[in-house]
Amino acid sequence: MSVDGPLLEIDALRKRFGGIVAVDGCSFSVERGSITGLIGPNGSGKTTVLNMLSGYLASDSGSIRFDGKRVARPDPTTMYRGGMSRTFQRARVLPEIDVLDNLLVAAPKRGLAVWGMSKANRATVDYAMTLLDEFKLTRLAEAKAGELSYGQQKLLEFATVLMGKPRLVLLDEPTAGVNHVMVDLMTERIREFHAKGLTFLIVEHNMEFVMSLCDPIVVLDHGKQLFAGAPDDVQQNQLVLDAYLGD
Amino acid sequence: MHLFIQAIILGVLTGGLYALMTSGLTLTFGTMRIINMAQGVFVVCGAYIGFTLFNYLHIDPFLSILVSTPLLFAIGFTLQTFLLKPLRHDAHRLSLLMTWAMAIGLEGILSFIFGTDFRGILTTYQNSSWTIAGYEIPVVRALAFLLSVAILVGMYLLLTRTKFGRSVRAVSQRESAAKLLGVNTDRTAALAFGLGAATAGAAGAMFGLVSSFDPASHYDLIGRLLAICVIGGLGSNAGAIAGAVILALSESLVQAELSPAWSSVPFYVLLIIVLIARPQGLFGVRARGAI
Amino acid sequence: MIAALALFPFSGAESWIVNIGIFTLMYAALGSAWNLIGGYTGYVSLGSVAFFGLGAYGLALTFQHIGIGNGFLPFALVPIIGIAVAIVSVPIGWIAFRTRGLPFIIVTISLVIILQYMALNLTDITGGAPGLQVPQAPFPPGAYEEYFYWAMLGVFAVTLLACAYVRRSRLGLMMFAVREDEDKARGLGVATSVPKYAAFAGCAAFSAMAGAVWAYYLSTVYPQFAFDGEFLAMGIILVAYLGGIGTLWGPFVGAAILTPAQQYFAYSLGGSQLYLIAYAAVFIVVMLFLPRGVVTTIADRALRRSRRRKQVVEELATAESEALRDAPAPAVAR
Ligand SMILES: Nc1ncnc2c1ncn2[C@@H]1O[C@H](COP(=O)(O)OP(=O)(O)OP(=O)(O)O)[C@@H](O)[C@H]1O
Ligand SMILES: [Mg+2]
Repeated sequence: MSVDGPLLEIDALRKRFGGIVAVDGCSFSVERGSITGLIGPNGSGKTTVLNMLSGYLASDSGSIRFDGKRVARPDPTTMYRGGMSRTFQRARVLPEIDVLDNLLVAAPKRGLAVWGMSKANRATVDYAMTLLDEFKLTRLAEAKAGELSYGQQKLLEFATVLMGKPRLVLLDEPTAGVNHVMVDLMTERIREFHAKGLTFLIVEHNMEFVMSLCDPIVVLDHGKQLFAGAPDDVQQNQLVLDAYLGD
Repeated sequence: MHLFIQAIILGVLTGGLYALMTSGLTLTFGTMRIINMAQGVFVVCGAYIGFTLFNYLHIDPFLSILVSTPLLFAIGFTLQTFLLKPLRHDAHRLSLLMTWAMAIGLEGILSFIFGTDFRGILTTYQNSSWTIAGYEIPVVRALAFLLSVAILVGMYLLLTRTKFGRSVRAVSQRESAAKLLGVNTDRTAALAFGLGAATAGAAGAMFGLVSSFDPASHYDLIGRLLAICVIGGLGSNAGAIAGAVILALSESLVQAELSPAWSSVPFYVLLIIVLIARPQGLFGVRARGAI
Repeated sequence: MIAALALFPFSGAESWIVNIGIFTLMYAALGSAWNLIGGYTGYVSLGSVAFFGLGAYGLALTFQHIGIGNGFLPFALVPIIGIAVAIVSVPIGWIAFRTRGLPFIIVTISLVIILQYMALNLTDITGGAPGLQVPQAPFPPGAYEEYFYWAMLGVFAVTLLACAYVRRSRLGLMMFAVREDEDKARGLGVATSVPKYAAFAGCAAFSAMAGAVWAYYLSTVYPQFAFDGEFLAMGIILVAYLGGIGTLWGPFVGAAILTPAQQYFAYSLGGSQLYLIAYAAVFIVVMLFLPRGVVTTIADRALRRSRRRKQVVEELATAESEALRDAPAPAVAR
């Protein structure tokens, strides 16, 4: 494990869908222990970048380095096991199984352990219960995930991806459609896990949230990196303002 | 070589008819996201309608299309309204069973009315054929091919040029969006299902001319139609046509060159190859992974 | 429950009733096996029949080529056939799993058609349309049915055991995850092929075992019956739906209702056209009025009444309102 250099580096990533070039030679990096923000107008390619990073989409060209090693063909399962997990813009939970099981699914288990008689060992269940407690979902542990409110589902999805003890978490619009109390809860948890050494890459439109939490912030426009820097610099940058106000 | 080209001619001619049958399946899949397992029995119904009109009223089978098509449309529309529309919970999978129940029920009704003997529509021009450049072109198959193509073109125009076509396309793209645009999705689904059955009705009357049939023939038919869909790519019109021609071609080639007993083998082998090499079918698009 | 079922032949039931019992257990086993792939893993497969047929032919072919006596020994062969067919199912699964959703259904239908076609045409091996004969078991006439009843009960019990294991194990959790959202599951580190192949092969194994017992019982196999895509394939799914897919006892309940009804129709209406119509009618009634299945519907009712459940619903409501009370939740800018 290399200790220096950024945790994640992407270089000249490209993806086109038919006529539209969604990501057009995008390059940036995420430093170890940072909470990096990724912002940009609607359709600027943020989600597409996350999809390529997490192995849900194959890139047309460009390279991804995670923890110093080049990831040739990212695949969701191996990325997760390698320590990078993500949430989706529109929360995705497993609706017909209960909340606790949603967490247990995400516990890393391989090889023969898969064939065991129980869903998870004591330690895993305990860790899941701790997470539920931190996300104030303990009382709903036995409810079906699909019955939760949308905000609770977003919290649950966030909690779920922490089960694998990742090193980098990609969050796609964690606050969209979530009420203030839960946004605060989410912020608290991000800070807390960040303090424990977890690195975040957060895609968001909620500027208040981004500006207070993220540093540095990468601005994407038309699939390219437009600017990257500290929150204050971003707010004052003319290019960024133009991109948001439309040209 | 002569035999080979002759087989290709026959294959393409028959392929047109299969394409017509499959187009209905594609339409219902596109609009309702269901597999209509009753499409085979709808074809057989069309064949029996042609048979009845010909034997009792001496109406030419090609003319009987004018009866079988609207009749099957009505049957399809009614079945959709009373049996498919009420399915709300887990509709996609339940429709599979429901359309299969329709198939079995209609098979029962057909056997009840017509018995289970094999029938055929035996016209005076049954065995006549034109000879062009030394190749035999059976009149029945040629006419069936031309009519199928004409109906397919008509369907294409209907789907691209009319308001109904626009609604169908809106519903296929995204149901929720179509609802927002004020498209009556229930009605569109019923019309599309009816139209799908109508294509089977038209194809059925001609199917009765080119091969013999009994009520249970639908089982064999639906198997072929579904395989055509998978090869071509489920939901793709071009794929349905390509798959149909491939099916008919491979069958007629093997029949001519090897033996009739093995005529379906190459098609199924091809099906497996397509699944391995291009699981979404020749003309299909890969489903989106994430988002 | 299984013990009660085992005692059933001692109740002095006549052999035709035991016969219906065998048939019911066969459907229950097939339905439970289908549950593994269709109910728990969410891949609707019509392929059960294909494996049922392979099991039936497997037994008949073993009889043909290796003398295995005709007493109880063939029953010992049943698990071996199950394992063999499970192995055969893996490459088939490899092809079928290149698709999902509706195309997967079609591929499994094609599988049945291809196998039926092969059974009809590979006459040297399969005997073609007339099929193969299996020597009749030398059981005394009065008890003939009973031995097969217990054999089929054994198959059902093993299948049920497998389902029970799945429902409380890590493997089952992975199956559920695949059913709920396969792509999401991949992003949670679930090696999705493990539950998919396990379910497919498990379904194949248990279906084949039922097929083998059935072939020995009837002492004949022929394509139309072994690879019956018309009634058996859909019947299996109907049984699962009627009982409640994804429930442990659902397929048994479905089979217990449907099979005697089916036998009654077959008996009173003969193999005639009316039988088809009645069969379709039963199908339609189930789909329209009990789409969630007997067991699921009852369980839901019970759950809604139970205190535990009420509590969860209340918790949900309070958690929501607590959150909202603290903040009037201005719409967050997107
Ligand atoms: N699977 C896809 N197929 C075709 N086009 C796509 C696909 N995914 C994204 N796009 C297009 O690529 C562009 C970038 O989309 P993307 O979702 O990455 O933007 P985004 O920055 O996440 O926007 P938003 O803020 O609205 O979430 C858009 O024009 C979108 O329509
Ligand atoms: Mg996005």
